Amino acid sequence: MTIICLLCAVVAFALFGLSTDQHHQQRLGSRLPPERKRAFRRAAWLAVAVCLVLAFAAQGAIYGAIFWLGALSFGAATVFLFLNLVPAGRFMRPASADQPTKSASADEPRSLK
Amino acid sequence: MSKSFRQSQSFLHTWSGLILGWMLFVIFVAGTVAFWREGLNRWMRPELDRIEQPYTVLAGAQRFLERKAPDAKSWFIAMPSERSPGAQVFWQPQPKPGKEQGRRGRRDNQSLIGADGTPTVARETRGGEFFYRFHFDLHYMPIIWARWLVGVAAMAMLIAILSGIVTHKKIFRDFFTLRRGKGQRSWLDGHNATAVLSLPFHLMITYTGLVTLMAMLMPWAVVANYTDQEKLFDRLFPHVEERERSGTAAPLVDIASVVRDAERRFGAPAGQIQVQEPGDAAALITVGRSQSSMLSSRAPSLTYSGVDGKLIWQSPLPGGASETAGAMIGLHSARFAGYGLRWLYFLCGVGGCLMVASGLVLWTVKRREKLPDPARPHLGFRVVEWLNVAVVAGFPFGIAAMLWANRLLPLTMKDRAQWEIHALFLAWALALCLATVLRAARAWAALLGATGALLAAIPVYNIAATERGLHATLAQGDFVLAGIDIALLVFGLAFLATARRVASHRPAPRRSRRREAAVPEAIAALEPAE
Repeated sequence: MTIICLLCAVVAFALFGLSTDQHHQQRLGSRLPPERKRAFRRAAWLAVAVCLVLAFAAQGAIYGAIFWLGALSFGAATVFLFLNLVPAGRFMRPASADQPTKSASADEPRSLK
Repeated sequence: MSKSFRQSQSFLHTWSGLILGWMLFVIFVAGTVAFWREGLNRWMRPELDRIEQPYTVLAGAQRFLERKAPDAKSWFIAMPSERSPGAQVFWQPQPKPGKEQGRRGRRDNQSLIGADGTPTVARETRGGEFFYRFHFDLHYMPIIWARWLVGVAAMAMLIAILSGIVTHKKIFRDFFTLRRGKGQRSWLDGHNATAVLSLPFHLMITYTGLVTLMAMLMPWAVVANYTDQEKLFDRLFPHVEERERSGTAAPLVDIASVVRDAERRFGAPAGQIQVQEPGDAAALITVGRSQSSMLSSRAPSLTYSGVDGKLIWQSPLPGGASETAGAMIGLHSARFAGYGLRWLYFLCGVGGCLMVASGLVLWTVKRREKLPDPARPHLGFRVVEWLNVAVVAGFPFGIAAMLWANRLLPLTMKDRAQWEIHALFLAWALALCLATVLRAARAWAALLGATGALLAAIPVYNIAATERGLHATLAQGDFVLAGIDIALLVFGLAFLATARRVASHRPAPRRSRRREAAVPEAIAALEPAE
């Protein structure tokens, strides 16, 4: 149960991470339409909630809350390190033809934000 | 939110973080290490076997104390468990009339009972206790000063965290962003990431850390309600009324049977055991519940008659305020945490160390760009850079030296435990000298590299020269000791890798002033503040 809870936290933050324009583009190789972004975010929040339930089930009411926050930190850190340090492309879908032009322009709007 | 508010917060964040930042770093590192206090207590005494049968050890402790201090005023026994190196016992002799009773001399009145129930002949060391005490008592200075310093540093930390959230308000939106190899941007991203990834932990640990010192930092509630310190103490830590020694000798019951009964009533393991007036008809045995079994650090206790082993007193339920304080202190020290949660605490602590360190470095990175003449920076800049090297690289170097001293100092050396600690500070002083004579980049690389090599070599030495090498501990399923060795290896390699990157780093050519001025105002204002 503890392990599932940790995995759930990782999934939650993976969804959060993939709902950012830049990482979505890099990892999944396609632009992120707004509706899909919303769906990703919703699923991520759901996973956070499920993680809370699992944490309480695994560790009881007192330690569950502490463990939940710990698990979320763990999930966030894991996904953060993965998204930023593991080179993209290895896990990417076969790139579409217009891929290079897109990724080249991906940085530009970001730096203006 | 108005811009000027954010700017004022930015100012607050920068300076509250900087001024006591080096001390915060040291406190954070020592505190993080102290999450493995019990593990280190065992790791630093590799001669000792793991405890398989706590009650055998407890019986051994009773036999030892009955022989060694039959007419003491009281005995204290830390209930052994498989996490502890043995049963730590100490005793308090009968007070001599007209002589002030102090905590001095405690060192001669203590012993460690090992797994076979006899006093151990382990190397003299403070073990993990050093890191625990150091993170709020510091060293080489009166405790009260140290605690004030630590308290002020913790308050500065809380200010820095809160103002940091305001300053870097983009941290939540840019949660997953790490721009690599981009100088100041990368440092800022790294600082934000380590801060925000375990933000709940940072807030919790800083706030509850202040709670542990609250009676000292804000004594007014106590002063207003209690004229007598003793009364306050009785209220906070209720205990059975002390008894006069009757003078009639009576054998003490088997402590183990009393502890078994107490554990049944607690429904949890026992922690501290105190015996008052052993060997007398008035003897009392008090058993406290283990702090590892509950969140609150204020554990309930039961008192038994030492002659027939009957329960005669139990601690009242704590009041709301006391329970809250106890829970917060418990949350801080994580004694309740099993290994899974303990690892999370530790990793969050490491994140905190990196946050403080990157914040300190960021201060110099940000200002280096703007220096009028980078070859000759002004005094303030030089001092900060110097302290950064000396503390951020120097303190881990000192810890590595201390761990080696634990392994290498001759076992019969006088004051050996103290010399282990001196080794830490001598190495740290050496780091300070290096930071003074070398250029900053060279000093960083040299110190980080040396720390990495020292840390990574310890597990190798353990395999070669002790019975608790990685192969042995893994084979025995002793994952605490194995985990410490593996962690040392990982940290050693990480330090080496960092040192390599620092050594091969070539500062990017300075951006020309003209280009910088050309950046439109609007964009500059939207960049993350710091």
